[in-house]
Amino acid sequence: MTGPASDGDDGHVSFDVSVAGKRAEADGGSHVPGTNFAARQSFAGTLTGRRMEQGDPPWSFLELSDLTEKPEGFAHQSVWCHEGDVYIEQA
Amino acid sequence: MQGDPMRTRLCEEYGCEVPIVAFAHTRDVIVAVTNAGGIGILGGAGQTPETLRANIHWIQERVGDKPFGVDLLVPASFVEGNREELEEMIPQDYRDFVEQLHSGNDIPQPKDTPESTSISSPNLIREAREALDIVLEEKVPIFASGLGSPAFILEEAHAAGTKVWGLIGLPRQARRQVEAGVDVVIAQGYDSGGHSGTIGTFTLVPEIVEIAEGSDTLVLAAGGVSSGKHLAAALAMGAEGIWTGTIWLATHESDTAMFLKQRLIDAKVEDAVQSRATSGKPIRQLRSNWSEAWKQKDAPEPLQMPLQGMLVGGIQRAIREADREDWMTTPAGQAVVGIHEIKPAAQLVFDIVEEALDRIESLAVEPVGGD
Repeated sequence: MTGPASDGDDGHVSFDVSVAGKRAEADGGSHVPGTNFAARQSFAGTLTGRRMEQGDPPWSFLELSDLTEKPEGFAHQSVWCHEGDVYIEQA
Repeated sequence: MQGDPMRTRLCEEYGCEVPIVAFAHTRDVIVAVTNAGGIGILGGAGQTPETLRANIHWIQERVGDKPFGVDLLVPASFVEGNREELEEMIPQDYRDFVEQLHSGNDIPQPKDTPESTSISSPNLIREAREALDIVLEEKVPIFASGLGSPAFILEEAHAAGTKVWGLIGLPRQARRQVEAGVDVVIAQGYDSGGHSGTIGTFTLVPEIVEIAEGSDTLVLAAGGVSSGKHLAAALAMGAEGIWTGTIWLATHESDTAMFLKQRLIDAKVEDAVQSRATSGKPIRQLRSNWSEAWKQKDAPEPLQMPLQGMLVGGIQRAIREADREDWMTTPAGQAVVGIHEIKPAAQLVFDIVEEALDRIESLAVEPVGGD
């Protein structure tokens, strides 16, 4: 299922051909560091196939790119989304 | 009317006496509400592992086997790039504007560097994992997830005896959590404090109740909830209880600063403003010089997450260090209109219940229209 992998400071990154190129929605968001605030963010786009795993047991994040839905003013080309919050569109 | 309207499925399944859930960052509020018959949920985000574990022990010692929980913010998404790369994305004119806020308002530069520089994804995820591990190790009865779907942790949490709750702002989020078997879905409307969605509570709650119908998932109503009238309305809409936050800020037990408690009492509903100035996302909070400064004609549009938070982190710290009350704020929902005095948290629980029962009783004996 997975292709060549690399390890770095940001976790273990591999390529998952089973999701690459698929359209997906994601309910994202994160804690705002240094505050008690959090913010939810909604995304839709195409899964690149890159999968990042962090910790043991691993928490998996999938890279979503070519974003067709994103927060207003979102300046990034792609976003990593927790796999449990990624909903792949059925063909 | 048959039975006790306050004995909802939430009470039956969790052993609380009244269907009132209080979210607060102060452990004393959690204990007071839980011992008064409700359920206190401690906001655990931002606490060190040692503090979180100590707070859980402190609460357990005081509530015994009564239900309480911990709310955590597990990162649901992040952008790639280390802090330096992200810093480079902040335009110079934004930095200039922040410097003008310092110099033009006698706000000194921050004294200290932040204790945590957890802007990077590994740090945020590591901290969230550690906190979640503590919640499960300590067998906290409820884990509430403020972000994303907590479905990924359901099996592990249930094995530890911990129920899993999820906050949602959209029907699609609720549908996915109900399908996954999340124990409680909190339907949080636009009226709420902090980051709120775009749908009003009165519209959102009935729709989520319909989505959860026939499942084992319970629904709580959240956003703008401050009184027994709201509790009665929530039950009428099919919710099994209410999730409340803002109203506990002005209780005796809350560690909210006294000047902020007074501002909460004085606030009108229009003083609970949405501003992107702190994080880049709209956050409902008490109006302050801070929120107003970013609305001035010469102010730039706030940047997106996480850049805005990185841009203003220093001046926010400086405001706290210098005790600039006029520039400080607190997350607050439209429920501020229900705050009229500082009360003990238990008294607030009793007042809400009493008013809700009055409303329900009056509806039962005063049919409107027809004959």
